[in-house]
This record gives sequence, C-alpha cells and structure tokens, in this order.
Amino acid sequence: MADFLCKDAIAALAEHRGSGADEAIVVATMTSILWINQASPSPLNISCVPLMGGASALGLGLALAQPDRKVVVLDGDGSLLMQLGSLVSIAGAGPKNLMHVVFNNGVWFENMVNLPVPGTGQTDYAAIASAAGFPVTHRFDGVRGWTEALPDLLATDGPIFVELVVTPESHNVWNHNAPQPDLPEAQFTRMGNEGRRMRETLLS
Amino acid sequence: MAMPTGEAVLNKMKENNVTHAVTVPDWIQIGLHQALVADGKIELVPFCTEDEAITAGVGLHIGGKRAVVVVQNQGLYAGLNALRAIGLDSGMPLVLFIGQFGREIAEFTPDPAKSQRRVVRILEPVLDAVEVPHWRIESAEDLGVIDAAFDRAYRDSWPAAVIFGQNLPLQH
Repeated sequence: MADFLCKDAIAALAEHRGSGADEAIVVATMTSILWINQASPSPLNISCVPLMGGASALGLGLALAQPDRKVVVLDGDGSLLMQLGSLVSIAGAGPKNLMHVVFNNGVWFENMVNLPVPGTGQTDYAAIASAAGFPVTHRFDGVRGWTEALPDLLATDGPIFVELVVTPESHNVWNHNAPQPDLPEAQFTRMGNEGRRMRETLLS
Repeated sequence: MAMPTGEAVLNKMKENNVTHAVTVPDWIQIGLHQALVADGKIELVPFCTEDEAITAGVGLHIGGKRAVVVVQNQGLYAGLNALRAIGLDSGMPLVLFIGQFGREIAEFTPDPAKSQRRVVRILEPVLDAVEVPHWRIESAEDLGVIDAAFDRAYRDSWPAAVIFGQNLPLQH
C-alpha cells in the first residue's frame, strides 16, 4: 500500500472545503500549514503558530462564533498531546460545525528531524476522542478511505474527530551540512495577520 | 468598602457587549460565576486549561464575538504562553478577569505587593513583564475600571486585565 501522506490528505480536503458562504474555516498547525496554503489558499485559513497545542481551542472559539460555517482543525499528534484536555472541552461545548482532524505521524518536526512523540505507534487518538465524548469519531490509514468519507463527514453534524494515521516524510531532514534554518519574522506575526484578515472576511 | 456583587460585574460585562465568558473557574469570582449561570444571557464556556480559554477567547473575537477570560492568578501563570502567542505577538484584544487567589483576608494589606504569598505578590509584576495593562477592583467603587480595560483592549488591539482583589459576595 502506498504511503498515506499529510499533503495528500490535505489536497483531498481542499477539494471539498466549499466556497463562498459555504467555505470552511481551516485552522492549521505545524506540518499542515504548508500543505493547506499550497492546496487551498484562502482568507479563511489561519496558522496556529508559534503556539503548538493551540489549534483545537482556536478552532472551538471560531466554531462557537460562527455556528453556521464549518470549521476544520488540522492538528498534529504532538500538538494535541500538549492540550489533550481540549478534547473534553470541545465535546462539552458540542459545536455541531467543528471537525477536528489529527495527523498521527508519530513525530515532532516532520521532515526536519522526526523526533518521536510519546506513545508513538501505541496511541489510539480516535478512541481517546470517543471516550472524551465526541459523538462521531473515525480513524483512517489510507487516502482512499479518507477521500471517500470526506463529503459525508463535512455534511454531518459534529463535533467530529478524525484521526489520520500518516507516514512522516523524511527526505529533507536536517543534518550537519544542512542544519535548521533561521526562522523568518513572518513565523511570529502571521497568526495575528491571518486572524485580522479572517475577521474582516467573516464580518464583511 | 464591600466588593461588588456578581450581578454588578455581570452588568458591566453586558454594557461592554460581552457575548461569551470563557473560563477555568476562579475561587475569588464564584459570585460572578453564579450570576452568569443564573442570568444565562452570556454564554459560559468552561475549559480544561487556561491556555485553551485564552486561545478560544481570541478565536471568538476573530469570529465576530466578544469574550472575557475568567481565571485566577494561578491560571494566568499557567496560560502565559498562549497569552504571549495569540494575545501579544498576534496583537489581539482580550480582556481577562483575574482573581487574586490566596490574598490574605484576616490580615488584609491594601497593597498586594506586600502580601506574604508569592502567588498574590507576583501577579502585577508578571503582567507588567508581559506588557499587559491592568486595573484593580478592591471595592464596588472601582467597577468603572472594567470600562477602562475594555476601552484600552479594543483601542490598542491588545490584552488588558482586571484584577479582583477579594472574594465577590456569593448569591446563595
């Protein structure tokens, strides 16, 4: 079976996120930021960075404020583990318009250094979400199942939790001759700039 | 001079167009929690951590609503990274109500900087360090500082804090 990559999963989502008044808000963090902005650039994208762990709560706030619009959170396993209680907070608030997607790639810094997250290969995030009170949970380990399920998932009342068990990319990891680069200033300002752009779009 | 009632604080929230109270509940502000539940006009959303409450509060703002974060001093310390990222680095307006948990009542000193308890003593210096303007409520006469905090937060697109120095009276 071919590798199931984060970028392929997000390309499939981009096909189905809708447009105009039906376009879904997308809150992305870590690896998914690059892929959603390549596959589906939009003023309704916001990058939760540098705030690892914050995507789920940011998505919940947006979902409560915009109950008529779908909100999709593209989270990571390492990020979710930093705010695992947010699953209970979301389930308690019960926003019908929120879909929380977690990429289980088992690593921090994908395709940069690929350090293992705690419990790599042992943790069933969909089961945790179900136990936390999410009424709908799914787990996919291939792009075909995810792609086929997407239209129904986006049309179903939530909150919905989806775990995507993906393969971390590793063709571009840092090494002695190619160390980590300096971080651009935009890394520290983009969340605010994108938030202001999103607010303006939503309220216009 | 007595502290304001929870209803009086709630009315100030309404005057400032608050739609949501996001919270990890605070010992000092239980009177406000009771008023919020009894009134039901402002949506009360409990969170597991203060990071989540602060982050969701800004998410509500981006989505067109207005939230107040209701936490205690320990919660402010716990949520500092979220406040740094989504409040300060992002330049977003957000009003925090912070209770001075641990403030001495029997041997009350007007200046929290002279408290024997670090959890009380360091709150204002921590807020100063992260460049968040703050106002104290020590009696019902101070309620107007809530307006000042909202004015500053939304004028400057920046967090602002209101510090409740003593327990709000309970309703029942």
